[in-house]
Amino acid sequence: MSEEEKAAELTPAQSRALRQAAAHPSVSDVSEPVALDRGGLLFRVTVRNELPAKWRGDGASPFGVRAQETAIIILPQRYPLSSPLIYLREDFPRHHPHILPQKEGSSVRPCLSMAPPREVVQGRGFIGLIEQLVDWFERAANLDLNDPRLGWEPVRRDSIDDVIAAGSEIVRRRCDANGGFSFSLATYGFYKSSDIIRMLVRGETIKLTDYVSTLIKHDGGKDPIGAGLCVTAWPGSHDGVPITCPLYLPETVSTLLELFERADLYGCGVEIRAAVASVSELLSNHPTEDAFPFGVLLLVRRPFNLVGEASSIEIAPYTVVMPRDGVLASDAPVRLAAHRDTANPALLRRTSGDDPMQQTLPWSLIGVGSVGSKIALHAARAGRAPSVVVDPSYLSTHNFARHAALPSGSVDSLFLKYKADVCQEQIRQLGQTAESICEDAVFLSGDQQGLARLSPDGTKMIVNATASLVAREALSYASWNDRPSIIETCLLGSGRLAYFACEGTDGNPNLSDLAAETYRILAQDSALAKAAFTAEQEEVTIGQGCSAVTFPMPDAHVSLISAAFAQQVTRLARDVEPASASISIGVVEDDGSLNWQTYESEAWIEVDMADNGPSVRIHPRVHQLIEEEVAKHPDEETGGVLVGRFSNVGNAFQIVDLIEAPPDSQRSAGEFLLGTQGLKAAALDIATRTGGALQVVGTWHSHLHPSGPSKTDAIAGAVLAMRQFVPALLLIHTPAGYELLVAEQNY
Amino acid sequence: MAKTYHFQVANGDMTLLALDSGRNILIDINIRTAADAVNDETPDVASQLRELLPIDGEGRKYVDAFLLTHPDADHVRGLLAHFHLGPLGNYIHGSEKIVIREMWSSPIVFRRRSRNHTLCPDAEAWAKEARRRVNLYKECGYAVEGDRILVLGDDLPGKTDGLGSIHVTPGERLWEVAGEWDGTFSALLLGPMAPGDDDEEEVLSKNNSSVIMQVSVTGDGQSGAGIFMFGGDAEVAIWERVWQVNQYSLANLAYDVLIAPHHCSWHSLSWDSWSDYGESAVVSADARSALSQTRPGAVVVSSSAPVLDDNNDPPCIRAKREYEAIVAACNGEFRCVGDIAGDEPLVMEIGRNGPKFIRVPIGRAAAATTGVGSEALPHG
Repeated sequence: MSEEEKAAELTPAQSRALRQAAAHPSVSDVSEPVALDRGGLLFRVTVRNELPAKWRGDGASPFGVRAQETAIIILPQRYPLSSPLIYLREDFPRHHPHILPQKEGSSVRPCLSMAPPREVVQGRGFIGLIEQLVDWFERAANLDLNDPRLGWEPVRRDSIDDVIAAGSEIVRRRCDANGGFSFSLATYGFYKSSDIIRMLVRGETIKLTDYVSTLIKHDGGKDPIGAGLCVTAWPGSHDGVPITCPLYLPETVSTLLELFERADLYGCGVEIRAAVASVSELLSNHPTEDAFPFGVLLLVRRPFNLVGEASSIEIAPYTVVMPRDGVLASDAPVRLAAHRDTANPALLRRTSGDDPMQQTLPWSLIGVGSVGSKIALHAARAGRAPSVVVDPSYLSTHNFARHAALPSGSVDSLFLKYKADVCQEQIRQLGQTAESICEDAVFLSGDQQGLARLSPDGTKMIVNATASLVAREALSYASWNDRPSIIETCLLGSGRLAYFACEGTDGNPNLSDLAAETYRILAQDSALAKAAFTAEQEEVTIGQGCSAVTFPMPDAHVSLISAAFAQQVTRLARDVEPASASISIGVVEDDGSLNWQTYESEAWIEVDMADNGPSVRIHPRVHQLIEEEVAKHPDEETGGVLVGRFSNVGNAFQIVDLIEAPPDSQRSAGEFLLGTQGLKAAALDIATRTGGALQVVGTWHSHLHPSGPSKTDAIAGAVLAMRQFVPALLLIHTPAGYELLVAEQNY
Repeated sequence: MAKTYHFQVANGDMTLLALDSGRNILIDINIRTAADAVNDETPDVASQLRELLPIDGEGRKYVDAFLLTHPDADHVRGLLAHFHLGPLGNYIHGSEKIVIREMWSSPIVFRRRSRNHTLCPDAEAWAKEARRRVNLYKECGYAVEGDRILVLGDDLPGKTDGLGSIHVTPGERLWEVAGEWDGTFSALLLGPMAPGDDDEEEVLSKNNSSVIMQVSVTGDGQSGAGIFMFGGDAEVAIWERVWQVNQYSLANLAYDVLIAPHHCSWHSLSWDSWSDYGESAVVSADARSALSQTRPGAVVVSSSAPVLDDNNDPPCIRAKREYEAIVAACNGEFRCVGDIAGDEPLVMEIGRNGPKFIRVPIGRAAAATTGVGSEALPHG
């Protein structure tokens, strides 16, 4: 073939590949390319492997890699959209890891990268793929393809007969340093026409008592479904050191004897022999009705973690068809099974980059609407599902626009399901359990029985995702026996703002307090205030969040915010930190970015009134301002105006700000006279800026000596009470602490 | 693991031997002025060397030993610019100069200057520093770091008298580096040998007074895992003599890695000039024997510009062919430092199974190689 003809035949991508292959410094030769009948191009690349002098002298490494290795590379017709295929010489040793599973006798194909070769070509050019090949040869030459940085490659099996599903974390947990074996029941399906056994192993172990053989039975169908048995065997220790198998060998087991020999190699030969013997003994005395699939899981300790896993224990699964009388010859066939993990929290945690062994602290999720259902699902996918989900509402068809649940079919609309039940089912599908309570959390929070259901013993956290003002107040002021950390998540301002609040130790400050403080923060920033307190929000006061009817918005928007909530919640479900109260406000920008501001809050000052009268909860910042004002007037009474809100449910005032006394106020040792200049306008301004969420709730003034409200104070209270719809508060600062006077006009 | 670094210094020698013990032995330098210039593309071997060297308690980079095979410019270039010379007390901090804890010097530097023996400024500086150290030893009878010196081999009668324990004679084996016993290293001195007669004295030029040393290093705990042969620019007469002396002790000449003498010069293998005789030039059987005691898989490394099929010498294509024939017999290889892409040194790692070339991985950027910036590109 002349140069011209060759050039004419090559596509630009093929030509580039050849050029880059030849340019690699370790490539000593690239053969003439040959066009394949089925399309595509074949050429040979000879790689010069760097060997140490002794092996170079021998012509090959002791692990079968020669100083020069030639690989056949095929660029398929659709290259670079299709991956190049790479074949090694047929007699290339197959005992290396990272060889693609192939039938014995076919060409050896190296597995060069985690990603498909075409991805490597796209990312690093064809020369990058050649580099992978050269690196592969170099590692193979040193029997070093199992790289601690990448992980131990599990034993390669060139063919698979059956499938065993078992929770790998559960199985691995059995692998103690003493060595041993354990049995579990397994549900199986034996598809005789295709000769496949599929086995689902239960998590709990059983003792091999006489009774077990009565449990092992099947439905008698053509492709029987039934209960079988599975054994897990693991190696012990040698001289106090757990036995580890650093040897990689591809799978060769096909008989019981070979299985035992393989187990010897893994250090659990004694254990598996004993396990099989005990099954045989049981069945000899108590035969089962029929032969049944017997699963075998050998656990192998490897020198370092498996590829992509946080464990160094490899699971080697096999199946044996166990005769009803348990008599197995040494040449009884052993089938190779593929191990499939079952969804379980440890696996999900590991995949989520979390510590699989760290347990989830029990937590309850109240409200599983569009935000709550997503938090639940995110947390469950991270292996940290709530243990209780509470929501009294049904899943309506319109909910599918934003709820984490999917309709299961068109008949769905005929059956009403509780949101809490649907959420519980999703959690169950992810290998976790949650109790569903399809009742109103507000009612439940009214008595101890209900509270115990919302927060069963040991509950560490409650997440309120109801977007209900009443629920917030009810949870904040409920009489908790062992108060968990209560957290609130909701959307504000038509979804423009995300709100995440964590209450402080023992509920001080509580969610209700934090909401009052949040209103103050929002009111200070005109952009935030505009988003939160616009006229359209006034109908439904802020914090009422995301009711579908009120604020139409796409699911993606809700998800954006819910995902951020879920991150926080999932972290807290792992290690609820010593509660420090905080408020986080996220602003969703038009480009979809979410910018958070977080405000910490110390404990508030609580002032209780006798006879179950309203209490007062004062933000520490306000207390500080009062102290400063009092210090300025040591010899006369002074005062000002209290800004905050009144919680009906909590029967409590929350004071988050002050208005200074107007300039026409008068101070003397015996009396403080609150003036009026500009005060009305200032009070109106606050109410306007916060859409009425914050208001003037009363006044404060100082007494020079410890004393309760004076007669003058009582009159002032009565005057105020006549003019406002919430009780009027007169807070008195004395050298011995605060005193209260609350006046309210009755209907 | 022990490593050797063969720097890209064109026709010149510069090798760093990093031992398993952590000690470093530098063998010759050829740090061209161009390599120091920021905008020049000559590999910046001085920076590469500094990167590899440890820092002492005073914040100074150092080599434990510096072997100068012979005082030719292409083996000592850059000494003044990059190395501290004189008492350590005079070290100027911030100068970034490298401290030589122990000098290993050919005795030829003690010869008087003559018509046949001139030295470039760097070599003069080496000779001056060597004399300072020798005199200090003669005065005190001992030396400390920065003042140590070993004089390797013999020269004209009288030149090495009175050196006592700092003089190492051919056939002697070194076990110490910078005055300390090092279990990961030993070296057999094979040359220079004292001239046998007046004729030989004639040929004992600078090249032929090169230190010839068989260095055995531990690799990954395996004693003697790598054997290196260094011979500076020694020519055919010397290799013939080395053969005659060692032909019954072949282990003295065995190697895993031979640094091709005199940058792959034909003069190390033959008395005939390559440019005059070409293919009819005759190989000296004895010199070839001295240079072909390969261990299995041995390599010959040519520290030179790429060896082209031309009349140049060194490097000489005929010499390359001869070395290739030598290593072919043991499944070995011939490598030229000048052939490797990029600026980085050729690196060998010495494991239990002997020296192995370390491949430079092709990075992510390889496919993004561009011609832009390599040369001025006129745009019309």
